[in-house]
Amino acid sequence: MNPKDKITIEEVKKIAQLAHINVDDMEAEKYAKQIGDILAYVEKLKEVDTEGYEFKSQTDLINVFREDIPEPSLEQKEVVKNRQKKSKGGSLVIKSVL
Amino acid sequence: MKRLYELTVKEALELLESKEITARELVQSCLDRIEEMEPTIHAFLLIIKEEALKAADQIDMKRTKGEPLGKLAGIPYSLKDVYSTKGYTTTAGSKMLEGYIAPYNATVVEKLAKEDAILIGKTNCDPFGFGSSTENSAYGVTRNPLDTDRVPGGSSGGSGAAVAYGGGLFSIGEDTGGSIRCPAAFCGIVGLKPTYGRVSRYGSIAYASSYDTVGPMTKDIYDNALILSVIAGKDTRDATTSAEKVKPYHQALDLSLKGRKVGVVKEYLGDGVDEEVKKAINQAIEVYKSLGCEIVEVSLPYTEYAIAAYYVIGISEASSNLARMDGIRFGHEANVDDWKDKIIKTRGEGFGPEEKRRVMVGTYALSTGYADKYYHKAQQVRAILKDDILKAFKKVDILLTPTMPVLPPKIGENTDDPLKMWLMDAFTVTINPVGVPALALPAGNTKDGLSVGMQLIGPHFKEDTLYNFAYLYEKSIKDTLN
Amino acid sequence: MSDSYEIVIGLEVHVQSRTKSKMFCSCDANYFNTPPNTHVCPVCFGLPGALPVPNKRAVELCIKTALALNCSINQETKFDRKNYFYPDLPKGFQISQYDQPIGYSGYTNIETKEGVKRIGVTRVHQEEDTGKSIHNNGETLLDFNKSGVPLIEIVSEPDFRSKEEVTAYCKRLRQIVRYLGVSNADMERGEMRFELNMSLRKKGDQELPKYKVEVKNIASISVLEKVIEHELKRQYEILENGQTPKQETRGLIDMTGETVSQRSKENEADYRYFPEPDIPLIKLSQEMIDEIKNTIPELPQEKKDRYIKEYGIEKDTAEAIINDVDTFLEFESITANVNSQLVSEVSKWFVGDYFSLVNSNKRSKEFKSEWLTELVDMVIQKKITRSNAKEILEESFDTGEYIGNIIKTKGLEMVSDTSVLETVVNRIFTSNLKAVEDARRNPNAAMFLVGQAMRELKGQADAQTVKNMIFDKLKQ
Repeated sequence: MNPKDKITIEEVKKIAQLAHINVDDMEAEKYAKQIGDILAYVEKLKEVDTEGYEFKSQTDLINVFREDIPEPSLEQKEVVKNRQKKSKGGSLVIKSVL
Repeated sequence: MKRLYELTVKEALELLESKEITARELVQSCLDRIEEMEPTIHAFLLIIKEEALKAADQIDMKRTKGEPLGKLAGIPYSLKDVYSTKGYTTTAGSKMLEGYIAPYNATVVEKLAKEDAILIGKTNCDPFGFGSSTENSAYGVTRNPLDTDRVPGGSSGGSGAAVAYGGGLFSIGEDTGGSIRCPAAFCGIVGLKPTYGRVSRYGSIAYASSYDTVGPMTKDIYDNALILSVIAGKDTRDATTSAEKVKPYHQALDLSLKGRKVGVVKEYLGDGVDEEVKKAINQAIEVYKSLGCEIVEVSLPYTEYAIAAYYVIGISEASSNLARMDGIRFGHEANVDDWKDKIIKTRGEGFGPEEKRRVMVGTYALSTGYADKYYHKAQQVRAILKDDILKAFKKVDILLTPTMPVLPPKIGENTDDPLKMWLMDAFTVTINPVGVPALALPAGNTKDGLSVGMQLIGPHFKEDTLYNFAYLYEKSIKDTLN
Repeated sequence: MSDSYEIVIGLEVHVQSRTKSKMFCSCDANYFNTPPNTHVCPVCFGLPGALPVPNKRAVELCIKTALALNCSINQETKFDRKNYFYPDLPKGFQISQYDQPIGYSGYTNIETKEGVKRIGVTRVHQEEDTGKSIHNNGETLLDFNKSGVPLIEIVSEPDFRSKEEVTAYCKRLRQIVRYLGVSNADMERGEMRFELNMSLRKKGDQELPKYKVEVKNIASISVLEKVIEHELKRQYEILENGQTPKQETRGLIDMTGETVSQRSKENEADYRYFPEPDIPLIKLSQEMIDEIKNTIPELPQEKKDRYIKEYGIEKDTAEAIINDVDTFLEFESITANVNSQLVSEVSKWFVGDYFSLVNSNKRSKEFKSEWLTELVDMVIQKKITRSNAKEILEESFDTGEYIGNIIKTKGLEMVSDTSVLETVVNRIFTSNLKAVEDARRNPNAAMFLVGQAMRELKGQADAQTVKNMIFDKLKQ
């Protein structure tokens, strides 16, 4: 890989922001190197002439649908079970998004 | 005589049916074995004792009364901790899901319960399947029962180790790029990555949706085929499951192989493949010759690009699949008020280094300006790989390769170099993007008592062919040993 | 300011389709006014391991909508993931459609002051709704009952040049989806929502402006109108200062239509679309498309045109009748199998007296709206007078008494028997000799005789007939 293609710490932070992952400076430095190595490795894909090739689906199945028939949902207490302390009247509560 | 935990599923079923043993004795034997081995091996993240014994008693009672029982009545098994189990924790080996309790069961859990199999525990794994050694687990490493200084493989390393030491008679693993086959090879057991769409993924925590497969990990071929016949089939909750008929896979294992063609992939026996591994594969070739097979050299020239394509697509999908881990509804939650900071911090704290790396690179590979270079290009290469393999199956019935190019590494040997770890998976990761089935089974042993795995690859939905070839190999090896 | 600048608007309209179950799971889609998180399952709650399976009916309704908007249909279509984070988006992505929407390149016509205008429909695609965030005292309550409800997105070309055109289009779309049975499009219930893309350009410019302001989550047509007014003023002022408004997504502050610039992060959305690997491709044969096409009823504009052409119904009257499904269904049922003159006459009564009764009076359960047609017919046949007919209608509407009975009881039937009329006219002539003489000299004086005859007939006769009779007799 070309040295100018190296991933910078700033770029790592930008990716981390897009991925919504908190990354501190030390981690960013480590990931810059590792992600750089990984990208350098996958760079070899460009050597393949893929003209005319298209991958559409892992399965040959088409038109797999459900009929429009309602079925019972989970019980409310099951839905909020993993956030019991953060639920109010069956709703989940977070600090205002506004 | 074998101890009960050493039995195969087939042997145990015979003894249960003839009432020579009870389900309680069998379950108790496995639980005792777990208690004995866990301090060293650490294969389990959750051990289910009371409920398992209670279930065993009920089955014993039904049997006494002559009531109808399922096909796997009384057989204790374990699940990789990526399968949702109602009422029990499901962590996927990640801190992100510490304490998470799913309110529903995965389809594979339901199917096994319907046949009266007994769940005795959930096994350790690399987080979300991200790894080939189980060293990335947030809950500590699992050791290889064949050599405790070595890794059991991964990501279903806990399942591999548990089956190998007798912590349950079989396990359900999950294979996205070798996660069943690698630990099967390193732990000396049998593991199947079925055809994509053969077994429902519903309830299996997704790594890469277009690669993920659910498969059995067992002590031998017969058991593997038997379990597949129970868990396979169309599921209305998984739109990608096939309606292709589920065969009684365990009932057609010893058809003659005379005149059948075994393809040997030349790229898979080149540099970087351990001599002991080559030796075992060459021995396997000889066995197939002796069974009347014709050996055909096959080339899969795009293999060197397969790993790159595999990772780019896999982590792209993973970056999206793991987006639901936001701390809002379940799992780890950072102690921050602002919702946006909460999501970012939750993911920063809950994901380990391997998760962060893969999610970030996957995010990058899908992002504006890079998607064409990475994600879309990789998908095109994938189309070529599929062509490559399907062409090979016009010439041969199955392909024979090593499962892993190396013997199990020592614990800690590769952890600092993620890329080196990735390259170790070269022979397994190439299969998942194409969706064909691949079966890992022991080819032979090294002089140090480690196992070498071989991989049989077949065309889509030809699991029966794989089992047929594998069963006769297993039989002839046993005959030689005896 | 409207002299120098021209509005350029494109719209994205979201319509919840009326299915029984959700888009990708079997939860009951009828979530309105249900306790929070009771219509929720692992799929629509985004639990690990859950998988989506598309609702066939929802896809059919989307195809139907696309066809009704004159779209071409992608015979190979698929779902894609649109990735972004938000607390009410449980999976961290929305299942939507990216490069192969179900419908594309369509249009619909709207009526403006200047005449009929064609609005281009760029695409019609299927997606899923998010959960609901309720903001309350610094807290946000999350309810996922709405999560996964099928949503059809209709994207227009930037073809609108005025607020009125936007309003006409939104109302037309609402009519269309209601006609199709795709949605109730009840805005109070959030079943129809809008996203505005708006900019201004110098009048006469042909190119699209270099910027575009996006405003999301607009819950009603009236708020949409206010946002347009507000943005028109705001953007105009910036342009007049010689600057270009920033290309951005602006948030709606409240129902006044005022918008505010959002945190810059919101403007850096990178949705990282890729094909949804959990859902196989969808291939639509021409046969399947035609089958759906055959279920499309006559649409509002066609219906209106037909009313005008076939029955001679007035434009505004026709518009009032086609406005909603129940109204035109009632109208068509009471005018089935009658001649076009009567249909046209009934239409006036229907949107006039009948509408006001419906709006202000209590309708008796026994009242049948087809009596209106009978009544109007009698007016045309001159069996009753127009003013009596109004009273009869009102009484019948309130009491449920059959109109024929009211006419009989009150003796309101007009005298149309010529021999009866002749007897009365003869009697008037004999008892008003002086007036007859005057009338023979001065035809204007004849109206006195007509008035006398009508009084004797208690008004239950056609005045014109009586008048003609008297004039004929005067000439003798």
